[in-house]
Amino acid sequence: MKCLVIALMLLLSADSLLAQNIESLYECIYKYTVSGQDKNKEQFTDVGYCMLQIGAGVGKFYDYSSYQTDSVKQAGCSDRIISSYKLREQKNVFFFDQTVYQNSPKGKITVQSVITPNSYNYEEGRYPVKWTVEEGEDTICGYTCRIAQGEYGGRTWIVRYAPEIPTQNGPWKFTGLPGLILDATDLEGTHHFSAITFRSSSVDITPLNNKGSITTSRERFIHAKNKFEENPMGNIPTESIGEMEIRKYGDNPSESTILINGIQLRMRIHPYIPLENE
Amino acid sequence: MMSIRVLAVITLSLFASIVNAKIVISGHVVNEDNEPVDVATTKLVDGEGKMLYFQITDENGFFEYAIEGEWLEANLIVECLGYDAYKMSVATGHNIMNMVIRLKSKYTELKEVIVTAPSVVLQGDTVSYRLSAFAGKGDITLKDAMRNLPGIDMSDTGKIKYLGKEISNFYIEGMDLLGGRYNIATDNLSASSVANVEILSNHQSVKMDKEIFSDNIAINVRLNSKAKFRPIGSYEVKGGYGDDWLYQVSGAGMMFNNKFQSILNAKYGNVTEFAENANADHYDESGSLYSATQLLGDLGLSTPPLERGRFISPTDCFITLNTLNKIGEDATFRANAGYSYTKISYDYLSYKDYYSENGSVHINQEQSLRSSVHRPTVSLEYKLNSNNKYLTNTLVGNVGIKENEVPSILDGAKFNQLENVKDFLIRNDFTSTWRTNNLRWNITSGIEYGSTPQGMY
Repeated sequence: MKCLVIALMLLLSADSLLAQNIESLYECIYKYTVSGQDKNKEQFTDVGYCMLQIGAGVGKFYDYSSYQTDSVKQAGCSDRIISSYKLREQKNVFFFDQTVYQNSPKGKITVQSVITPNSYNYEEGRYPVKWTVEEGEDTICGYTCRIAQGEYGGRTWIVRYAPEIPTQNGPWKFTGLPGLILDATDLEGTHHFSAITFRSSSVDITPLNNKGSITTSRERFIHAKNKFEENPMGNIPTESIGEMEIRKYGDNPSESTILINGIQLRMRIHPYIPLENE
Repeated sequence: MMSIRVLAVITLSLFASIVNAKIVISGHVVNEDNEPVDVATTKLVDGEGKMLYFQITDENGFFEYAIEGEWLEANLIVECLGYDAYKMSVATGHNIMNMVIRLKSKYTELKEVIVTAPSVVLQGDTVSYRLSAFAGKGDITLKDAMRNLPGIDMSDTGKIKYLGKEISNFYIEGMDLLGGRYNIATDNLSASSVANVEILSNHQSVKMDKEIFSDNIAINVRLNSKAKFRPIGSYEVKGGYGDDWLYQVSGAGMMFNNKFQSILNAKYGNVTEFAENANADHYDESGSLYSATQLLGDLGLSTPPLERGRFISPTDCFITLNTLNKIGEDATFRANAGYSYTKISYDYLSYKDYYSENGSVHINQEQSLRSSVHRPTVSLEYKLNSNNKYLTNTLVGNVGIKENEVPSILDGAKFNQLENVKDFLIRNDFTSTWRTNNLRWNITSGIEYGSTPQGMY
């Protein structure tokens, strides 16, 4: 009986260790801009904000509103306040719907994302982009930056990294350069991540947790995601809808929140332009 | 046979030369506990500091360079966040393998930079909204733009709630100029003058009680540089024609600096009722005025089944002067004086037929209301709010003169109702709190004189 109790206690403590937050040393806020043409051939620019939390050897990159929800949770705010932040996350019109764990688990990048009504996760190598360091320098956020170029997901990316910040992290999946990547843009100028704030961190990194999400491969996910976003409402299999909740905050469809089986279906104002074409 | 031997020797010597043309530099990076550091950046840089090659250590802290050439002269630099950088000179024509580089822990402070702030920033209990990110093209006043902020709810009377809770204080640049009459600011400050709107959760307005938990929520309006240290103003003119000419003119002059704040605001017009709301004190809605009306009730009068704004003919005017002087580090003197006047009239006719066995009963009623309210108010407040003493003295004087006249005709019979209410109130509230050692002392006094003569005819 004693053995059983000890075994149970060990299991419990192991579980709590797994759930422990990771200390974040620095954080960098990026402005994420997507520029393109809508169905009427009119130019549009969507602007959102993302957060990169940098810990010892790990990084977490996700939407800024999700980071804010994490921060109020960790601050021990009341349920009412946490709910209001979750609601704000839901109402975020231009939400970056990928959470990227850099070097977590060790040697890998883990991406969590959504194809309504399911959550998915997949892993990639630790440094998915092969960079070529180029000549030239630039200054971003007061840091002298070097320039590098790499191919990824059917796009050519030009990044600027700061050797003064000795970490290999960067926005999204951009890692593996000898300094923090402060700016990344694709050659066509469609997607642009640009650092706007670099500061000491006060919010821990919530650990990777794939509970409740389907594990898949990158190729399968990208193919399915890009197909789904062509017509989100039409591509949801009717038989997969267990429950549907619609919350309306305004007349514009983008001001409504649709939850299918508890997973949000985000209605975009402008056409979806994938970060990865292949 | 001889020729084959020569060929073999030549081939081997060529192979040896290719092997010798590479210099291998490899090693393990470990921390002070001899644990591998798996995310260290290793760089080979030349004498001028130009990076020649770089590698990031693998899960075992291992790195390896195979440099083509017979001689390598460079600096090997190993860097990792949280560790002191390691640097060694390499000048060799041979391989250097299996080095063990031990990094020393070091707290590295990198410079923090904010180029532009995102639209929402969280700092402890404060949420700061960059107003321009939320204001639409049609949002002219602060009130218009604030309606777009997440969690903010503004009632028709201008009362502000955050997440369903009424705010306890409204500050402009950290100074409480208006008390509960913050409509004056939200109606007259232009959205473009405001940089940020800060929501202060768990706000404790008394400094000496800062360690006592408070559930209050306050709002602090941060002005942009163009709106500070110089007079600014806003004006509005409306015009139109209904049964008669409609007009409304308003203007406000403001000044905000570190030691002095002031708003002078005047409004006159016959489009809508505004005077009562513009002068409303959202912190004190107990209605200390018109106590006679509260006792007897307003004159009963039927109203058409329409929205009030559709059938009344108002003429409103409102003027207010608000100033706040900072006297020393923690003391302020605030004076708020205002006068509002509302005149309303409307006519209402009703014809009712009740059918019965003995024939129909007709009731014809015609009513006209002429109502006017004069309301001068004055409030003087001295406040000392320091870390060990809190003292406040507020003198309030309110006058309310309300006159309702309802001439009516009921089935041809004329009669008249008249209500004349003159309220007068003067009140002084004094509170002083201070600490000596472990004792906390508090003195409070409240003196009030009110008069409510009334007459009904």
